[in-house]
Amino acid sequence: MHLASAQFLPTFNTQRPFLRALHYAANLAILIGAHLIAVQIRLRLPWGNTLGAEYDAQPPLFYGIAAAAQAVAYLLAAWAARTPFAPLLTPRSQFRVLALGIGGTVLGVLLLLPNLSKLQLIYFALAAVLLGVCVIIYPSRVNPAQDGGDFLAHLFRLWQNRALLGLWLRYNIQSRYSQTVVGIFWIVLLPLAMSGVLALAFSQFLRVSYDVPFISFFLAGLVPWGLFSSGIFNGMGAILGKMALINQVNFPREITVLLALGEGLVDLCFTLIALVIVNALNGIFPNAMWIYLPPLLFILICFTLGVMFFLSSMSLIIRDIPQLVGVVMQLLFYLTPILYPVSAIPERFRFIVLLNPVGLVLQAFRDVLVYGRAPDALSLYYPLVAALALLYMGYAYFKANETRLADFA
Amino acid sequence: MMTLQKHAETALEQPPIIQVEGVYKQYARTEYRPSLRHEALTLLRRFARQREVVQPFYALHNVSFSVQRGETVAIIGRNGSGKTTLLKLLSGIMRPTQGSVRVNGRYASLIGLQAGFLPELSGRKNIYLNAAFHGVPPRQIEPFIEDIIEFAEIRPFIDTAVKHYSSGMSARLGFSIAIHVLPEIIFLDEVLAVGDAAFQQKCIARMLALRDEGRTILFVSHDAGAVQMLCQRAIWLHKGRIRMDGEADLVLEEYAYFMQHRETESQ
Repeated sequence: MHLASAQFLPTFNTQRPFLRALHYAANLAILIGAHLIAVQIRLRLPWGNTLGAEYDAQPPLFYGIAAAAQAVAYLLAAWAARTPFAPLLTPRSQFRVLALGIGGTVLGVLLLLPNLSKLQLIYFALAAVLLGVCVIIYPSRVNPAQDGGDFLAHLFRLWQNRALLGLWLRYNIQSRYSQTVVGIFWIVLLPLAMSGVLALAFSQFLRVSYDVPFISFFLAGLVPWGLFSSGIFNGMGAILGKMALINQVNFPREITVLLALGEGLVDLCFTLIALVIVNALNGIFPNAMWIYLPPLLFILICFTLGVMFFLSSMSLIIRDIPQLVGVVMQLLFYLTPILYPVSAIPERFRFIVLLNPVGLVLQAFRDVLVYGRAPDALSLYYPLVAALALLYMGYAYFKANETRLADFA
Repeated sequence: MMTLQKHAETALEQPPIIQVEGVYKQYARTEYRPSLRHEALTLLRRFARQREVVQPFYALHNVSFSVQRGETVAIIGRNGSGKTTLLKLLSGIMRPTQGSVRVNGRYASLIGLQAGFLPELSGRKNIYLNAAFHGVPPRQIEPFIEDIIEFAEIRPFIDTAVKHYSSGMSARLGFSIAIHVLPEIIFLDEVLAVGDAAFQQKCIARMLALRDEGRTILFVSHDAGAVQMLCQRAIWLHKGRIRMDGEADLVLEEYAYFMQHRETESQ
């Protein structure tokens, strides 16, 4: 470990028992996450036989089985470490212990919960393995020195520099909005103008039928999408635009990425105002369902940040990334149900939308903002788990490349 | 004599505040601009198990030294000898290709003439921000703001954007902040070169005061007079290697002789 970069830390000692507990918690979280994904895929996607309304996809006992299986897996590993099996299995080999835990959970469910759909169990096992690869194997490949304790030390250092983040964000926002009233004006006006044009095109020429005024429908998708896409585009410039600074001062580099996100969030506030105005003109008013917005926003922010962490350092190392991302984002815009409702998609292609985490979150936003109803919780399981996993992966990648950044200037 | 002895005793007891061991810093990627095409080719080569053929350039080559608490060390050497790279490694901006760098204390570094300022922001805002970069939150720097402005002698321009500053002004402000955040260790990169004579005198006086408070100072300088006044010790870097490390007077003498000799030789 490079000590000079971690100087302001009082040394963050990760004791072994603490690390074990951390690994256990992480593995259990992976199992639960995989379970949630499996539930959503089984119930919301048109694969496998349809299940009756009395089918219980999330029996509480499942969590007990998973926790027990994972604990047994760790005990087994602790025992194996003292036998000739040590090269194969020790508590240190987190992924292998997870694999044992998955096996144990599957066995336990087969024995104790015979009513659970077998297909759902298969989804669970596959999702758990995939999550394990993403969250355990990938970070350790990207940075061999990394373990759970390292991750906490990074977060701790970030926490110690929170004053810097707050100050910098405040100055950036001040210099962006203070000189021009017109600046704010444009941020509010642009989405309005765009949705006005599209409203004309879609409602008059294309004759897709919407059950609510098109402009409200469209804005409810465009506002959260704006956060996502501005996050991506600003994120790519987050490091590139601050190379001079990165070459001269030492600070946790993820602050530049968080800064880009923060600006996106401020813009979101303004576009949300525009949305409220337009909705009010169409007779839709904010209601109690708005309490669902913060958790939805949380999922979207985690997902966006995860992608930003990857793109910000990648676009420095490979300079062609920004051009590529422009094309991909355009494609993603049309693949995401922003302009059209999900019901307008032919049945057999619908799974594309139902597997797009951004699309699912946008759906939920629309439920809250336009229809004034609670979002479908079941369809948010997978976006939530995917967002958290992506955030962790992105952060690991970013921190592994952090000290290389100055070399590319 | 007494103080020297005392110094030597404490030096023996305490571990070094800065320890650099066998450090190599290689720059290889600067020769071409990385692009997708290049990445794809490297990927193919990696599959074909071919080694990448790039001439490595070592900005630092097997550099080792340690600095005791309270020492003031000058780093001298010609342009491109790796002085700034060394300071960047010490302040954690870069990581060595090989070897280890340990800095056991709170430090402030002043590298480059822009000193980590945001050009669009006013001088005052940059003071708060720069202090935060050095790990000092706004609340704690607040009482020193007036001192910082006073020392840097830029009061009339403090609310002007830093992009309009002259290089002397921003160097003065950067130096003023670095010494007011009260670090245990200060890394300075040729700041004395940009200030005028009066400011240089002031800097040297302040650095002497800091030294007497027991703070550690590492600075890059071409100014033999300043080095003699401030340091007992100097490290001479030549083409990325330590050519000489010892008492400042001796090193300076050798260095001056070397430079003169080189000039006559080239003529």
